[in-house]
Amino acid sequence: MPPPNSPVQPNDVSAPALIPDSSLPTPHFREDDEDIEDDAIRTINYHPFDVKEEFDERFDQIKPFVRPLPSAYIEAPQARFHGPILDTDGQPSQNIDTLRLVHKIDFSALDYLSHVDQNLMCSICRMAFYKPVMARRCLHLFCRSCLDQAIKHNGAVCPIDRRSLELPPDVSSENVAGSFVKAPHAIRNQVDALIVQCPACLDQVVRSEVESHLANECPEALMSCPGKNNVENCQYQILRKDLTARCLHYIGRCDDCGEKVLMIDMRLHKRYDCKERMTSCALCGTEYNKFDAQDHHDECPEIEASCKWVDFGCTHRMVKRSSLQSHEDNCNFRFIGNQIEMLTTQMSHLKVQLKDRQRISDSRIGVLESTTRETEKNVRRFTRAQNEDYATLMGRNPLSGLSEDVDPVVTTSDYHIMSLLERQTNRIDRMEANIHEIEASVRASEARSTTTIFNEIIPIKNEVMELRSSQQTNAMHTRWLMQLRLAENRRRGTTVGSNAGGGGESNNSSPIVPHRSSDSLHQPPRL
Amino acid sequence: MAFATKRLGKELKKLHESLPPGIELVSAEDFQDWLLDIRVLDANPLYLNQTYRLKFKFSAQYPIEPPEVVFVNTKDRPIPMHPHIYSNGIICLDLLGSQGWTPIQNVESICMSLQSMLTGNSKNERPEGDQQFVANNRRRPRDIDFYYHDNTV
Repeated sequence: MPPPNSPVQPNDVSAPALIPDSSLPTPHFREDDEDIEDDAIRTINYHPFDVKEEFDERFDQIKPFVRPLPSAYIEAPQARFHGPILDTDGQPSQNIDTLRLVHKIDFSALDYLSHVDQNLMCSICRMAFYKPVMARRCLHLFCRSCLDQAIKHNGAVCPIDRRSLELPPDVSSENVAGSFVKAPHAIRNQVDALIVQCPACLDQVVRSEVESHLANECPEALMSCPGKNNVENCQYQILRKDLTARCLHYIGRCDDCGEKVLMIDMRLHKRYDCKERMTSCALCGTEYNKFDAQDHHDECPEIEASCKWVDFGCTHRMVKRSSLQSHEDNCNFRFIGNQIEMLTTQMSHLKVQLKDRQRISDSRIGVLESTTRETEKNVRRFTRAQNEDYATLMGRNPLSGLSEDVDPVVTTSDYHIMSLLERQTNRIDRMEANIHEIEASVRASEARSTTTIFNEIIPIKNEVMELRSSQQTNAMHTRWLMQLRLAENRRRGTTVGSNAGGGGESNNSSPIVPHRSSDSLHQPPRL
Repeated sequence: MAFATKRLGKELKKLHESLPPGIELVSAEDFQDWLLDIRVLDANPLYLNQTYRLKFKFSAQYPIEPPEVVFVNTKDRPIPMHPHIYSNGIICLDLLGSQGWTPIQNVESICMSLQSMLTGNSKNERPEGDQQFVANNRRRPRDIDFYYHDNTV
């Protein structure tokens, strides 16, 4: 038997790079493979690993294509539980989550898509920190694994400045990494938020979520085969995007070439490997891959097709595609067809626009309606308040029933305006009252200040009077003294008149009659 | 190996982008052996107008373990005269021994250290016992226990 899974054509870039993985167990078989004895099937089904060696030899050529693991994997993904997972009723679980695997990724092998700041890079691996730890004394940061390795090689000193790392004395050499001081949260959060490339689907993923992305979402990541939960307990792994309802790891026959092929790889076999994959078209004779039959059907020149304007009335139906092109170029319906096509597209555009507009206007109307309702409610409230006021004003009993029926003819808008007017008048009244108040207070303060001024002026006046009187007294004294002096002078002038002619002269000119010195001396001056 | 490859890949990318003066990358076909040329930039008469070729050999444990660095002798690339460089190109520099090495060093920093080691030298001589060492040594440079006795040069 020739090896059915000869590698896919290497020059075909669209073919996934697949290689048979010898590390995986041999597939188990179903009854539809007639070459296998019954008890062998049972054994294999129930104990796929125990009998691995025995059957490897026999069926080593048939193994599923397995892609090489991306290099960032530390180890092949593993299932948490190796045995089948059953539901509570003992049936194989159909829950897709039971097929999840644990993916362990070497974070230093990831490609970073976001720019990594120089300060967030470990100086040993020159990558963004992964699980950064801090030297106790010099506070330098390193990846935990980098520092661990560096210590094993160079001793417990900081690789940057060779200061002691001050590890606890009782730490064992195997668990050095456990005694490291973790880097501050701020640093760890920054490096965990970096964007990396998923090693499987090459999508952008936040670094801290890579492993959960691979376990739960990534279409290119491996999962357990659905056969894991069944009695076969299939141990193969398949890509999430290839997931089917049941295990396809059994050997079937290719219905074209009759070769034995694992069902899971049937599509790949038919597309790239099957000897009978090429076929020639019965009509045009062109060779094509059966896998691409639909493509060929859409372009085969010998297949009968209809003119593309057939919907608009062209009678050119079911003619060979090769002759159709020349017809379509000259079809009388091509003008009208083009027009109609254009109009249809325009119409659909317009319909979409119309629908948009309608949606917008509907929402606007809704808003307007709700505001109108609100306004009406407000107006009603105003009117009621006004009526009550009116009733109180008129000294009537403000019974609600009565006041509401005060004037049934008045419309709501009138009420509104009237209430507005009322409010304005009220406001004006209030303002007038205020003005009066202010006037009164101004007047009061004026009076107050006048009295204060008066009170202060009165003592000043008194003082002024006193000053004036004392000044008059002084003036009288001065006058009296002057007269006394003059009289003395005159007397002296008469006694020595011969001696001084000037003195006699002045005496003659003075009309003043001298007082008696006794009178003026002994009498107090009059005020 | 992935660890060393990743780190060397980064270094190589940086070396392709920019290199310090007097250092040139000759070949780096894989992540095991690299060749670099260095020149001394000042007018030290011992090394004036000379270019020297360095060979780096990286182990899988790089950068935890130091690379093996030796001068290689080709037609126009002699072995520089230095009291710490044997005439077979082996360099006695504590930086390259497991004692002096720290993983934060890189190819560029090694080249610059060697440049400055040459620049600071004024003795036109080989290490003591050069003839005997060259004749007898079969060990790889990393396995030799150099005695770093002289810190003046």
